[in-house]
Amino acid sequence: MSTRWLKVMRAEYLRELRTALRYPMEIGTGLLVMFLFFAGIFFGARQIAGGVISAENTEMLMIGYCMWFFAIIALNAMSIDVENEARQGTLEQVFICAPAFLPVLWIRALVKLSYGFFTVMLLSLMLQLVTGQWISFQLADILPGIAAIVLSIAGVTGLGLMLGALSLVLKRVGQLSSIIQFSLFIPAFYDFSKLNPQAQAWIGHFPFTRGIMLLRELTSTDSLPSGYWAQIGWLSIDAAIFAIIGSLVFSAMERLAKQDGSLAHY
Amino acid sequence: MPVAVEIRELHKSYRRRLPWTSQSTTAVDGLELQVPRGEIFGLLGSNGAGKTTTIKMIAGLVVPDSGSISFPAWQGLPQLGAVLEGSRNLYWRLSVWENIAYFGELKGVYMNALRPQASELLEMFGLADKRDRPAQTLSRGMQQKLAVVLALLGEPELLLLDEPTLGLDVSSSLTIQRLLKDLVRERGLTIIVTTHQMEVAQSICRRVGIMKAGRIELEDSIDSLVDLFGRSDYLMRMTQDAFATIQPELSDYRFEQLDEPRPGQVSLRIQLADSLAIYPLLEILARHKVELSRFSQEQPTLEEIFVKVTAGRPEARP
Repeated sequence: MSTRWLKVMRAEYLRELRTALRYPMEIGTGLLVMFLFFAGIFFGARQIAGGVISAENTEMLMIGYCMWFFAIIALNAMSIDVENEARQGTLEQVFICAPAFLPVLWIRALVKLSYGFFTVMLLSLMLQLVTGQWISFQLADILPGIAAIVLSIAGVTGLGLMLGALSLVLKRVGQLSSIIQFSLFIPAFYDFSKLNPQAQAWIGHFPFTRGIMLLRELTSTDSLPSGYWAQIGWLSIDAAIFAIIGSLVFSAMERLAKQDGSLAHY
Repeated sequence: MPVAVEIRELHKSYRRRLPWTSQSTTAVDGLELQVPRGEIFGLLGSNGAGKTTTIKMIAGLVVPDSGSISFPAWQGLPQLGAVLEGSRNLYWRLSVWENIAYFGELKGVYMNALRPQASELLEMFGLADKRDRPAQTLSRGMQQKLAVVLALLGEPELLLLDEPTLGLDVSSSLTIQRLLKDLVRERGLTIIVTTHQMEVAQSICRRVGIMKAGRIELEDSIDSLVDLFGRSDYLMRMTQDAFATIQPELSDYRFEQLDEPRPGQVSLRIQLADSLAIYPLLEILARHKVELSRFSQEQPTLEEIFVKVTAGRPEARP
């Protein structure tokens, strides 16, 4: 990576950090909302289930929820951010100042996700405390687990990029973003292992889905599940495809917005 | 003087893509323009004349349908700075310095070069003591100044300003005008400024292009325009008695009596057929020993020139 892009990355890390430090309450309340939302789901489900949810299901619920939270961060980094920049009037300025906008957006996603990682860790800790159930994993699971998380989120980021691309042209994509966010609820909480292997293979190509399945397998077994790295290979291919499609769609929409003169519109 | 920006046969129409969006509009229609390097060039026009589209095409934010924009004074693209959305061009939640640090690094300026550059600009624009203030707590004028400071980071060669003084109070507007003139004088910067504030253009620009319906109707230096549109009108003030004496001899002249608040005084605007017609008039005044308490030639303002140039043709071309 050239020094120019390293400077952009530094600028983005500092901008994000400075904004967050200026409005700490915003982050705190955001985290609290996500925590309360989970508490509602968890205790509601427990009541429906007759007062008890198995340790395995609680673990599944927590992993799914944390990954969903992470996915929302990735989606918003690419879509809502573009919408906000246009609204506040800085989008064109960033276009003029940066060598290219698309890499800036990827860097922003990376920055938000790396800060988001700490938020997700904190949320995960809060969830484990409130449920009284600890997510079990072996030390050897850390690297395969991180691979599944990073690649799942990379796929979602590609999806977010498509949404961001649409926001360049259509301007308001908040509702569409909400639909996608809640659609990701399905892979986050549905147990796809009950489906037949062929259906599982197909559904695994959707962003986020295979990664969640792998994480659940990883925490529910004592050793690395068989064929895990092959699945990670597929996940990498899917993530790359979503990232490439997202980038291509974004470039096309950027051209269209420049033709329409609508970059600064909101 | 070398040409900084050369525009040839530039066309831009905004097409209607979706049924619920507005009709297609021609924003720029065969624009031809040459902007000299090292001066402030004013792109004037009413709303919808195509100024902003033109400046955004120069900045690469809008793609032209056809035609070309080149920068003959530089090898390739010049280092560019722009203020297109005025005070909205900055992150309101960040402080003055944080905005500088962000946009400076985005432009690729090294931090050790950015610090002295920023200090000099903040000093110049009177923002040195506001360094740690969040942008949202600054006055509109200060935000506008900060937007210009951000555009100047990385020492651009070409600065594009879209309505830089719009909505500012007189004092802030005059400060920005003075600073822009200083920048051109001290740094040899080329500035293209769009405005429909004629007094601003008259104060800062050496040359202007008057746009109408996507074309340049007239382009020249302000001095030449004033000469071109200069009239042989003279304003004079005399006593009522003196006027009564010379009035019969003024029958060959077109004149009008202006409102005159001073008692016993008369103010006249005399329109001469040509500049030589002043001599017979002076003879009349000399012969009757008329004492004039005011005598001046009336110069057209840029605003009057603008109205004359833009009158008569339709504004937008759907």
